Amino acid sequence: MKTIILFSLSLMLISCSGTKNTSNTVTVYVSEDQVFSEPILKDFEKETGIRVNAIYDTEESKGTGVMNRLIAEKHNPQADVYWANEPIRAEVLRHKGILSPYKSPNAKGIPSIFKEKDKHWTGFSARVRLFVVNSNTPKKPTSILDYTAPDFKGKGVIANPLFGTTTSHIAALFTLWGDTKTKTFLKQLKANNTAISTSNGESADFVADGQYAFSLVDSDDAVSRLKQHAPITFVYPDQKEEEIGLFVVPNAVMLIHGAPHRETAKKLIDYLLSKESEHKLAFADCAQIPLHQGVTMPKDLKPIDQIKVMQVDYSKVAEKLLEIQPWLKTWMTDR
Amino acid sequence: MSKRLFSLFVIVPVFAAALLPVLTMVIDTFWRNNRFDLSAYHVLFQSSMAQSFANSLLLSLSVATCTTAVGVLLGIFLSKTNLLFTTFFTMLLSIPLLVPPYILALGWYTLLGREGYWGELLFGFWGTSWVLFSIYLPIPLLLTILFLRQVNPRFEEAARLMTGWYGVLRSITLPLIFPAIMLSFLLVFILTFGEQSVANFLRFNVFALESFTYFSAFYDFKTATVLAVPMVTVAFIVLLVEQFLLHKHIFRFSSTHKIEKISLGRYKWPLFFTIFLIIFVIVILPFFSLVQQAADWQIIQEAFEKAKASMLRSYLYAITAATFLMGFGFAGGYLIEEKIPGYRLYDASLIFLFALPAAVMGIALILFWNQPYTNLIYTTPLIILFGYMGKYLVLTTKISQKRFSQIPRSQIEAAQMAGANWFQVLRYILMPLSKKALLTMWLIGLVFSLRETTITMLVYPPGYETLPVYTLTQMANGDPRIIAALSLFMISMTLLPLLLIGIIKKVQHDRIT
Repeated sequence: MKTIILFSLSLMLISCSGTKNTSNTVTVYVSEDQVFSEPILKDFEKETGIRVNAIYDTEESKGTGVMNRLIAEKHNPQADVYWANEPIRAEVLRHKGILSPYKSPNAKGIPSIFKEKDKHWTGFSARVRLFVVNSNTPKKPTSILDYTAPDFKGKGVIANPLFGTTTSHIAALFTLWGDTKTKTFLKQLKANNTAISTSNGESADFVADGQYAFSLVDSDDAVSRLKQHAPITFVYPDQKEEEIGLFVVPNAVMLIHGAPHRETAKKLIDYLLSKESEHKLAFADCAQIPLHQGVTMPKDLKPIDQIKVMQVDYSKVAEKLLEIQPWLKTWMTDR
Repeated sequence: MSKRLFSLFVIVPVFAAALLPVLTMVIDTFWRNNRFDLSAYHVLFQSSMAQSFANSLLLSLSVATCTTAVGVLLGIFLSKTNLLFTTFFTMLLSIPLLVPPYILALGWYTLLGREGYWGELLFGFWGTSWVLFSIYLPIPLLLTILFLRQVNPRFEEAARLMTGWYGVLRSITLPLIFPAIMLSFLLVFILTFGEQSVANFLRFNVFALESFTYFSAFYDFKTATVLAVPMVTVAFIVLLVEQFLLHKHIFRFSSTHKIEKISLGRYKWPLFFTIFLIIFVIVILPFFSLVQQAADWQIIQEAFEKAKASMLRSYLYAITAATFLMGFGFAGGYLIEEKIPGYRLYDASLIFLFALPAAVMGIALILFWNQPYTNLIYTTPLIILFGYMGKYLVLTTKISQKRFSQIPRSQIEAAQMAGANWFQVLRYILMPLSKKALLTMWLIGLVFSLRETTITMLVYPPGYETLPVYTLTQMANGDPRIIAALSLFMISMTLLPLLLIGIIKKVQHDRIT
């Protein structure tokens, strides 16, 4: 018994050692999928010699771990940098006073719509919200309004709008169309027997399996199914002149207010915003669209300047998102 | 050292490590803008809450009833009959309890998918019930086996003079192991009520998910905490029922006895195959689907290379936590059994922490311990240890308490007559007599610490993730074969220490005999 106790105490000492805060480290909290973000962070370590301590989010609770930690740690921050997989959470954090402004030299060239005006966060490597359509579907949807069209009754599926990028997308519609029109749209979507899945990945699987004809998903979900040779095609929705354009979801990187390693944090932010990182993320399985011009990218995807982008203010989207959550929750449970 | 001082040594660390953070957070739910305010509690009266609460009750009742019925039956067959390979079968049936619940859900999903009759059945009430049934079946099974070993065979022999085995089981054995049956039912009920990862994976709306949603979608700590209150209340009601039902029975289990075996005669082989079939469906099928997916040496190597550091860390934290859980559990059990002042509060606090959703505890730990002057705790794995202690100490304490209740008072009194003080009695009488219980406590602490995910995910210091956390983060668009391999590592890691201890005990037993 004594041996076990002594052994355990020594193990504890070992596991506690090596956690000193050295100046040549950076702590980053990451909501981008670990499989895509980790290689970039490893490259940063190799190239700069700065040790990266990372905390990643999990798929089923995107935001639960990292966002809650950032909020709970506000008065004694442990993170230096937050790499969010969309800018709405960045805005939530900005409103809570958790971010510090930083103007990265590598942010030059990124369209201003994807940057917070006071430099609290900067967007890079974006996903777009597009339709994934089963190849056997005779008629393809072209607008998100098709979710309410009689021709597509019971054929569409959408991820739970309480979570992830679907929430952001719905909030963006609220800022663009106003409350009345968007609520009517969502009620009609429900009346049109649209199915609700737990995540965009699941929606894409449903379409690939042929259970549903189409779904609005993130471009990386669509590309990954295509790489698995699933019988699907993409449709970029709302691309006509009079239409609203598609919703773009850039990654966002930000400096944490009171970051323990401010200088190394800035280096990491500069690295993530570089054209090289965007190139890597474009050719990774997530196939994210570079926001800098002139970065080479896979043929499957359209460059950002050839896409009609939904013109939204992400700050307003974030405010709206918090406002509509209770209504969305009721909308979900009233189904 | 006085008993009072001893109780302070036991109570204060647990209070400071886990209870105080949670209480601070709960108290905060009653205040808004520095004024007493109950508006946060309005959320409990929303209609959607009633639906998810009803779902949770239905699920918990179904799972608890089915696991108890099947588990007790299997426990009798595997410990009281002349069936073959009973130890091996018991070990196989225990595997689902040893791994994080989402891994089993993943196994079934890999096997059945979403399409077709079985795939559709998996998602929703039936699938969630089934997966939780297979996870919690080992609880009544193992408790039945444990309690059957403590039934004095003389009672059964006496009854055998009057009736056959069926009558003996019905009139003597089952009433004697009633505490095991009741305890299993209540334990499974509480565990099912608080479990959300399987329900979330299989899309069944349960009450535990409400709190989770307020964390993940609203970042609203206050409401999430409020939503934990009904769960804690249910747990307390269930444990009050346990106190009421079980304390009315007087059980005199002196020590472990050799079990009187029932000869199955011509039913031996049909029963053998029936139990094998149950094991095949419950354990082999879902895990085989993972094995099949990861059955590539390169994939195993790649997964190992990626996860070896987190595997090592999992063991480091779990072994340390298991030792502390054993030590504090032993002392706490003594404190409760001896009714040392403060024991009721201590007992209730441990139950409260156990019933609390893990996410609430995780956030409470961050808010309380993440201060500049407590960085030594928050920025090291000590914070993980605090989480494990808070969550699982009730398990080891209860085992210790039950063990003390079985030790004859006469032995303690004899030592006291000889001049031993209370500490010498504890050190030289109770501790040696509790060796097996201590080992059991250590193993239970190890297994539960190894499989814990939610608290670890919220509090682990950057770069110090455990294997279950690493597996979960890989599930976001990771290679399914790698995820399957990681899940298999998780299972192997939990089984390895159990196997090692089993082998050591066998060798020791062989030497003696």
